Amino acid sequence: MILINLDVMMAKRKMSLNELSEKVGITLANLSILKNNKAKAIRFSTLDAICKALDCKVGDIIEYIE
Amino acid sequence: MFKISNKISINISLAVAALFMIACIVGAFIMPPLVEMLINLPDNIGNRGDITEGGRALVLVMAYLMLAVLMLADIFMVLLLLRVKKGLVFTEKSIIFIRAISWCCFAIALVFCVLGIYFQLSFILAFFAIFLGISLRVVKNVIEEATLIKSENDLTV
Repeated sequence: MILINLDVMMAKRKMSLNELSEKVGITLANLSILKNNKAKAIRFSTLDAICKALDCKVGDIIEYIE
Repeated sequence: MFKISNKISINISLAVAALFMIACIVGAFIMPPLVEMLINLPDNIGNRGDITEGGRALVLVMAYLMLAVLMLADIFMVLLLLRVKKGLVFTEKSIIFIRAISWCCFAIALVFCVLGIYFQLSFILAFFAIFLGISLRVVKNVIEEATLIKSENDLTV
């Protein structure tokens, strides 16, 4: 399954959900869906914006586990 | 072209469903004479033969059973319409209601088949009820698929 490690990266960068939401330009509700692993899909544009805001690679946020 | 707005259309459907419920309630009160009248109709729509007292009782029980199923289906229809009115079409509950109405159609078809012992015309009505039930199942499958797509769309970030 796909696991989203957004909270880990946010903690590493000491960034709050509000702050990330403003930087990425998506709603707090949508970001919360992503953070809590409820999302069923993520757009490349969103991923690109999150990676840019958190200064990380895609693999730092998304992980595949058995 | 003359077109009724969505809101008015739902209200008309709700009103018709309410009228249908009233008709069912009235039908419940006048069912025994209604069934008797049906049995005594000239025998040109199907071969009833001589219906015994037990047969008459069975017809009456089946008629009441059908009425109960119809009322149940009507309640599900009203609940479904209320959800449509609220804009909650593509949800799990809507699918449950459509599925229930579809099963009601199959149940009515079964009752018509039993009535076919005395009224051969009932088999034709059973055929239509089955067709309606299958059609509703197709609609249910379509809405089920649409609900899945909507859910995926809603949870795409």
